[in-house]
Amino acid sequence: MARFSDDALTHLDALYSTARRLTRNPAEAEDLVQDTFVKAFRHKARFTPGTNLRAWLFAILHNTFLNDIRRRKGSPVEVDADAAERAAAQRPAPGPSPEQWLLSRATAAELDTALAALPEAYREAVWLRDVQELSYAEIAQVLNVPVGTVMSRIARGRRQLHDRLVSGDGAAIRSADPGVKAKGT
Amino acid sequence: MSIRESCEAIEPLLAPFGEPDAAGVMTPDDRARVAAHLAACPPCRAQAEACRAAHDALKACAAELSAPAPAHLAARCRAAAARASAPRRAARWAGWSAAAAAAAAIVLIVLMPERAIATQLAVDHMKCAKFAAGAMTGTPGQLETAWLAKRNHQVTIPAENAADGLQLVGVRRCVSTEGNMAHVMYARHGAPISLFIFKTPGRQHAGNTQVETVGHKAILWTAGQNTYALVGRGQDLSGTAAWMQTQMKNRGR
Repeated sequence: MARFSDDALTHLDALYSTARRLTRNPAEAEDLVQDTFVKAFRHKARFTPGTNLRAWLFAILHNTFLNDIRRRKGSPVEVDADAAERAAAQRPAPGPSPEQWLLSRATAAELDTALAALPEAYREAVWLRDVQELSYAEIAQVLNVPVGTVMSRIARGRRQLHDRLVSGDGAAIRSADPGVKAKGT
Repeated sequence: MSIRESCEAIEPLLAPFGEPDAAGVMTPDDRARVAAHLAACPPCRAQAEACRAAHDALKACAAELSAPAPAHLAARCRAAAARASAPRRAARWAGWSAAAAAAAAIVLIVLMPERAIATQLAVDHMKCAKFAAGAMTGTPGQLETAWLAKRNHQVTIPAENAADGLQLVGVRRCVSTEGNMAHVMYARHGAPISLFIFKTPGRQHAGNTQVETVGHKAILWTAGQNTYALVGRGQDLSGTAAWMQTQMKNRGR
């Protein structure tokens, strides 16, 4: 148990910061991480040593979060990746190069705001790839979707992030995408 | 193939196309296909540039965007995992499912004699006080609303009382009942005291039941479907409990 515990805890920071991103609340993020560890311990016999512990823990975190929000009565969070797909239907106009320069100067606070405004299905995929540096295959395992879907979500999520940052309006697009949240399948 | 279909087919590949370390996702043929498409399609070229710029910006700020875990969280996870391991062994030995074991934990505390409940809660009070930093904070009304939304459990959380030196710290799940008990944390004249709230439909504690156990005092009362248990070390909590009950009655709870 000590070895498994030590190995699992090497991913604590990554799990916690991802939980913060999902719950948007420090106390709930701690609860989510604790629940993730408890489930990992209970089911550690299902984990094959030598395989990808990080992706396995992230998958438990993701599924625990989805189960939590489904269980909450009257939760405003709904599972609707189709809305995310619809939100992506509009193609972008070509951006002039000064916008690329502007984006390269974006601060962490601006990125944080823009990330928070993304539809959840995109936000989680982009977060896991660009900040947590999971591979596409690992993200597909965590989100339980095909790799092609992961690539689509990341491409669209990054584009929306870019558009929010260059327009300087993180809230505008969020209000245009009501109900766009994570999909667990 | 129409141009529109071609753009849709290319779109997913724009994510790894802008990454130098996306080996294994794109074949050289894919990469050549994307490059040829971008050369002929300004909208997709703009999207590829946007995609790459967003990726670069996020990577550059990745460390700042990642909040490190609080110092106490590792210990909290180790403790929770250790507790989770013990009931699992017991459940397997008894041939029960994990769900049955969880249900048993609640049934047990509901049916326990008051002294046994008080002892269990005194232990929880001592054990969980160090996790106050992880508690959910807010006004009593906010915490009640959040607890109902999160745990589907209607509770009444008494407010602070300056005259009694009572400050509300926050509320967290008590893991000894699989998280089904609300642990409301207060400080009274700086010393931690706990109000535990758990569902006990059909059970009434006779008025204010006072119990002394393991150096702690506990006062139990029933309101609605819940048992409320105020627990602290050594302090006389009768005045605090009476004030809380009056406040709850005034709120119609």
